Amino acid sequence: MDRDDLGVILRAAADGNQQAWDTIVERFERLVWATVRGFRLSDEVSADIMQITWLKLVEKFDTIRDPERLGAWLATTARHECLKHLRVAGRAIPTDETEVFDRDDHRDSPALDAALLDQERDRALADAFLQISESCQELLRLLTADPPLAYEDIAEMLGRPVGSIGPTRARCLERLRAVLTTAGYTP
Amino acid sequence: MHAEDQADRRLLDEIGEMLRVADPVPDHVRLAARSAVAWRRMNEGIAELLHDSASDAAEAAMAVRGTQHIRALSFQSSDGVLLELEITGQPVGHIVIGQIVPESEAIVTVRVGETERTAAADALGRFRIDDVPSGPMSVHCQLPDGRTIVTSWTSL
Repeated sequence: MDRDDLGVILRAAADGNQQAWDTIVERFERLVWATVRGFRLSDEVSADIMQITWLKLVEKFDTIRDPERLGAWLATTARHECLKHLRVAGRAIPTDETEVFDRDDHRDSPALDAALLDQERDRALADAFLQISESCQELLRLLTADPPLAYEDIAEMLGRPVGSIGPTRARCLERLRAVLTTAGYTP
Repeated sequence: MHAEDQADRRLLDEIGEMLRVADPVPDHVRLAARSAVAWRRMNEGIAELLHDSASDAAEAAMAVRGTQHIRALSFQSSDGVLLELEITGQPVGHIVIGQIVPESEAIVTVRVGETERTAAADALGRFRIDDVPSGPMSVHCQLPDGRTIVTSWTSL
């Protein structure tokens, strides 16, 4: 889907065309889900935040001037709702400090269903992924989002300098490799 | 590209594929998403969120430390009607106490997902709605002069 197509589809959805809307959902649901699942939220809350992100898009169709920015808009909206939920629930508020990425603060991250994975290696990767810090998990989810987010957008969402994303990415992958190696796998 | 970058790229691809399979978008979430476009509101001005105590980290932290968990929200319509809400009780069965300014009677409906709760605002513009579930919320006020105030969606 190129940018012009997306513009046409957005306008059709804004006019209430269900097929156009389904196309948007299909195209961007993985991206929104990846953003929401970067937080330690229950399945129910994750579902609610995903839904409010779509409802806000429906409400704000008119304000999306550049269809190319739709992915970033959805991801930013979803992340904002996640942070708001964490504040209401009185849970830890992620800070923008680098140290967050160095803390070993993995707790009740959303479970990955390893049973859905055929390959033993993928199950080991899922295991290892859940053992790295929550901040690394969030960053890696954003970096592997589909459709992809630009580094600039990820940096803005996380409130970090663009130049820090590459080195942090390298550090998070290094941790993941270390866990995989300990588990007996060659990363 | 350095060999190291290539290895990182490969590992990222593997992670992306693993997440796609092991953390799929649940079917009920996808179905709800498809129905979202039905909430498109034609010719209705949306009352925009002016203030949410949950968006203010300091305020939110204070509310959590205190004995009362009160979340304050205010919305304003394009023609200047203000809707102030105080929400207590978590995580299910919220109580929504509201005030319409300028004061006016109204039929007020709180909508959360498929659930709707309706109450009347009194002559002073005050209303209270109990047993409101968590989820995406929008408040709808029907004023006696025929005007309708619909708030922007907000997570409850």
